[in-house]
Amino acid sequence: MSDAIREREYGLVLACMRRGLIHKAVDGLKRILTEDPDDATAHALLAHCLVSLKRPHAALHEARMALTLDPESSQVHSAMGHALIANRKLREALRHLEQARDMEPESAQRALDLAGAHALLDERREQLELVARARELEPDLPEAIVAAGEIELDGGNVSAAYALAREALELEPEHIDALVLMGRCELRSGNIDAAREHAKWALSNNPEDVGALYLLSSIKARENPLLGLWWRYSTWMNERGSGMAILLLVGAFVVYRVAVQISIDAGASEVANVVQYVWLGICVYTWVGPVLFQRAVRKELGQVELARDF
Amino acid sequence: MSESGYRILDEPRPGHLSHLIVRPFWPLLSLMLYGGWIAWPWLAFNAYALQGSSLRRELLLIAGALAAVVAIIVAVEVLEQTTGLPEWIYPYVRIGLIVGKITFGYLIYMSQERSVALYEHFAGPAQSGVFVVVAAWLADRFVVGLLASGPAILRLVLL
Repeated sequence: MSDAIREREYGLVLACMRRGLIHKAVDGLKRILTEDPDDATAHALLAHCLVSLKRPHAALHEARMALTLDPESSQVHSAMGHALIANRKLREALRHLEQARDMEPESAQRALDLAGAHALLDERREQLELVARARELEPDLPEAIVAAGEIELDGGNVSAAYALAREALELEPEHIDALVLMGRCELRSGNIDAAREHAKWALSNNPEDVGALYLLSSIKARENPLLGLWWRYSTWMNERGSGMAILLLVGAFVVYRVAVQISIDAGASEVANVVQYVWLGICVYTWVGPVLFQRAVRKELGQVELARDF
Repeated sequence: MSESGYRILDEPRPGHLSHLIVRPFWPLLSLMLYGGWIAWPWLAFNAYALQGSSLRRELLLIAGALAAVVAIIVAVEVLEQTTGLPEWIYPYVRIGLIVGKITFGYLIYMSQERSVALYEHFAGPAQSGVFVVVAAWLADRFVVGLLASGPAILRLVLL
């Protein structure tokens, strides 16, 4: 692959990543790596894409390859940090993101990456300092303004979050994260229609954006309390990871079976019947709930008109 | 499977059996409805047909499931012969066996679900396993009858 072709391919990959066309970006990176399997940058970018596609093991593998090829690159350490976060290895991730930041101390993006890791570790003071530093380094960076807005919103300061979302949108009216932040502010204030408009606006720019999809799902959950219950349960389970989810499900099953057995042993077969009906109800609800919920979200997504330049 | 030569670690490389790949929900459902006699071979076959990055892990988990069930049965047998076990404990042992099987079933399901999702992304939808589940329902009585006359350990492992 000649330098000109490679440069063009990288340009396409980065454009795809910016627009959220991650599968297309992966195809481009695979073409680059077919020609040059030792391209550390391509491995690092691929790791970022795989994190977005929720393929954490493959992302970690790519990040490790990138690190072996180029241990002195801040981009590679950043990729490693993100891949480790996706694999829930937060402390190790923090070390790599710190290294990336130390290699590029004047980069606001590196400070924001590190702030994100501290947020996951519930280290609010460090997160605040890093977001403030990012804003100092690049006051007009929408990502830094949105990060500050998210902190305000999580802290319950909706009006400050509104102001920051507005500031980011004035700088970049189509900025997806800023639109999502504005939508979250509207939802928090009870303006469901305005929140929906912002979610749809964000999705028209990238129909696969996780934040916008999450916002739209939160809106549907707010509108239908019964399906909302499933959404909250599902979100709560997802936050715990697959291992813990299996443990909780199996634990619930054990409680159910033991409760039935104890009731039968104690001669209280009516109680056993009630427990069995409750369990059946839970099974039906957790089966039907996601189907109905996804149908409702899909119907909403069907009304999203993609931006003309998408 | 992919259009370019570079292969990402977790991409499956299905071979000539790829047209028989099903979503792992179906083998898991059959484990819940009929037991291991249909689910373990089906999960193993699905893993083999997929040739995903977790093939080895999934086959080891199936072997682990069988080993765990046998270990529980042997432990109960030994305890019964050495100290003697009260009658009321057996239903709970049975629950332990079911829980063991379901836990391994879930672990394999989650691992295979990722590979099938990737397979579907590249090659289109996987087959529906509903016909096998129905066939297993028809065969279940015959299998139960067959195992009833066999050794108890086999019955406990496969049902």
